[in-house]
Amino acid sequence: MSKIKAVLLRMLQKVLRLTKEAIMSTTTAEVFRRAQQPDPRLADVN
Amino acid sequence: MSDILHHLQTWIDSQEAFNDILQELDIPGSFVAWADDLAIPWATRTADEMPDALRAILSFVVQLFHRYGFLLNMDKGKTSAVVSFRGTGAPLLRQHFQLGAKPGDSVLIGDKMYFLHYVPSYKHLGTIFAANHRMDLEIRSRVGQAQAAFNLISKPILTNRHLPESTRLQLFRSLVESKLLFGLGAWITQLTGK
Repeated sequence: MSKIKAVLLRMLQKVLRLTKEAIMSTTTAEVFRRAQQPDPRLADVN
Repeated sequence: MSDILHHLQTWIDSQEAFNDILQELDIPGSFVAWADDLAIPWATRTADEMPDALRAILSFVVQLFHRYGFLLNMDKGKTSAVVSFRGTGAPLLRQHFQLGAKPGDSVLIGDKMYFLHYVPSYKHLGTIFAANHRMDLEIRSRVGQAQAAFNLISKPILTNRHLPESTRLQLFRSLVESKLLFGLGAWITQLTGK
């Protein structure tokens, strides 16, 4: 799941045309929010 | 096809040993069918019962389809079994049926010999089911398909600065993300950190 999220994040950074500096300073949550994309979270399973 | 599936379900319901296992696990027992694509989940109490169970299933299915004028395509990739041998005797069975030059089992049905291929994974309705029950193969496949779609339209559309961001995002969702997240709702829930 984390791999899927990482791939999605990398692609969204490209679609949003973030520069290297912007990628460094933007959090994952901000990228997903800007893309109006629900953050795929992991369920807490005990 | 519906007559065939009805007979198949009746036969599955009559298999007491299998239905006892399902009852203990509290899961419904049935096949998965879509048009002419058919998958039959099965379980046995011990590993050494599995080859005989598979022979019985194949024999029933071949004869059932034959009765309705269908011939099963037994080629590799067309009809196959994804088998997980577990428990006592499993290593020997794996060695015998899965680690040879031609993994599988020969089954005599009527006067004709059939060969059932044992494969490590199988794609059903776009989703890969693996014998080790892990999602790695499916995830690799999803990422690969999404990456290929992304690369194809990345320059002309998805990273094209002349297109508005909202359009690019919309196209990304429908053309790339749909491939990456296909079937995600039916995936098993992973523990945190996996």
